[in-house]
Amino acid sequence: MSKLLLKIEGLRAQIDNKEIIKGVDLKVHAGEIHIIMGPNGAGKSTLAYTLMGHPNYKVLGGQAFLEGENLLEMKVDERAKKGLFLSFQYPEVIPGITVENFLRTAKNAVESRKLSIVAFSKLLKEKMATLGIDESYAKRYLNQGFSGGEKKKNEILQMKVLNPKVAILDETDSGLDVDAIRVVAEGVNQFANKDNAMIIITHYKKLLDYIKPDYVHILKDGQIIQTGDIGLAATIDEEGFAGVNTN
Amino acid sequence: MYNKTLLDKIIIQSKIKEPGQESRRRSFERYEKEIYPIWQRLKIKKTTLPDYQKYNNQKTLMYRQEGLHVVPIHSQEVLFPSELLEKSYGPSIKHRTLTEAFSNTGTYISVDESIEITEPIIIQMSLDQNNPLLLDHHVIHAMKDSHVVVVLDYRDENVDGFHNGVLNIIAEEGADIQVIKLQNFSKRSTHIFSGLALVKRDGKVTFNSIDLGSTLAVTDFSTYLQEDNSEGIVESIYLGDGKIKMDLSYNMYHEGRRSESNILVKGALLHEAHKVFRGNLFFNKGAKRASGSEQEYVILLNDTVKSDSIPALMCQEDDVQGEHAASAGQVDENKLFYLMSRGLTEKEAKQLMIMASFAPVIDQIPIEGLQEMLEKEISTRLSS
Repeated sequence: MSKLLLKIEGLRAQIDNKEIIKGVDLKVHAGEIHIIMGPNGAGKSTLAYTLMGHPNYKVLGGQAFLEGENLLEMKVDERAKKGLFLSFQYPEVIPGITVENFLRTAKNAVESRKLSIVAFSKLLKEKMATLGIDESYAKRYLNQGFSGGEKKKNEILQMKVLNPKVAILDETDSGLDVDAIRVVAEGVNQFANKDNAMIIITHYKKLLDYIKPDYVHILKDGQIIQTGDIGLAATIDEEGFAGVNTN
Repeated sequence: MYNKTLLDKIIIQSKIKEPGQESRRRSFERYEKEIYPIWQRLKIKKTTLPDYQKYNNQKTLMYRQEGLHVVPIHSQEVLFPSELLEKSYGPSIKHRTLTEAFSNTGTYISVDESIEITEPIIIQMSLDQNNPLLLDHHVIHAMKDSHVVVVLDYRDENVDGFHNGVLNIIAEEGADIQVIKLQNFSKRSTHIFSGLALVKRDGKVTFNSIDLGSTLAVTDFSTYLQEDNSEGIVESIYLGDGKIKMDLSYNMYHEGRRSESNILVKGALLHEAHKVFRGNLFFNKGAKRASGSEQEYVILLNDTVKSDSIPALMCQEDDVQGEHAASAGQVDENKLFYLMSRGLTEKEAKQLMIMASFAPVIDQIPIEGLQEMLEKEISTRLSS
């Protein structure tokens, strides 16, 4: 079996004194694509934020390891440097920082090898081209005035530039039209390789027209209640989450 | 110490002739009548002045150009427009008239009609062991349709310095003047600055203040939009740390019809810094269809800082538009998380957020290497 990248055991987490994640176990190996589906309020985004280390999400118990190292003890930036990435459902708008400046700073932060401005600019242009993002976006302020689709593409661009080992995509497809979903999915497919892994949190089955996951997990009321292959997603599409066998 | 004997001595030693003599004497008369202020908000009750001494550390960097005249303020050719002496400006009349009467350096810049000065004129003034006292008085007079950019660069080296500066600007019809004050004193020096701009028909004066240091930083800049379609802009950034006390006030006096003013101030405060910002928009009788706006945004990096914002609008005319906006707050937690999730440390993320906030002002300032310098300063302050 390929290398174990992320191991989550009995993870419990709360926000605003309310327990949302109530014992999640998950193993993600290199080369795998995992889909996490679930109804609203199931804890999907909470799981993503907790793994990335948002200060408002408090871990109550359990463990998480990234390539054997205790993820939950790390600061947010240390998690990123270790190779964890989160594509935000609602990316922050930061006027005053250009996409290029921001991504160069981030790239230099996650990699010990510093890229020259010219080398970085070349890398950025390449990655932008693969996502069909116009070059002029590099000079625009981060997410300012971006449409929903542009923001999500920008998240995928960041993922491609930063080249993480485990990428969590939090509802990257929500709010997008079919064309935008296709572009995002293509970006995901280009990025996925035998050395990295993806956890894709989604609400809809549409993304699965383009992405072939190895596992589909159903998260409900803070726990993974069922794991299967792509067929499980089809069941949900037909019967809704209520139809999922919880035994 | 600052008495008539000293004034006579300066006038003789520097060979100051009329009309420079006369304007110094008039300012001295006023100086004697005034008393030093008590800055209540900053809790400064007493002003201690160092003894007078000469200052020989001003460097002026410029390209010679037809139509540009740059002479020392002591020079006999200098002619002060009399209206400069009559205007109200400065954080205190006592401080302002002190420098008007006893200035120990300064430059008189005038630009002929329709002349565009292509490169900024940079005036560097540094305080050091031999030159701890700076009482500089600069005058910039731009004739009809001319354009000039002047940088006043203040710094110090290992000294308990005292700076009390005066700047006078006159933009004649259609002239466009930009002055950038870059103040990066150490925590051992005091910085007091009085600025006055008179703007004539279709003229424009932009004042950029970059306040990064000193133990007490006081800046007061008053723009008189005297004639129709005149324009006054203040775009400023400040970084206050340690136990610094800052008092920044920007005043716009609308007198001409359709005159426009814009004040945009961006700041960041750390440690136990205490800042007072005052923005005053005056719409005088006759300033029909004038419009003015003032905005101040400050990032508070510690809960031990103190930030006062006092915007004011004074209207004697009905047909005007005035607006103000202010906000003060911590770095947004979610933005910080977003940046850190991309690998930036908390400090790097905060630095980036401050630079992002300063960007709209920095983008307007034609000083090479300003961005890098600010990044370095912010990084140093965040580490201490």
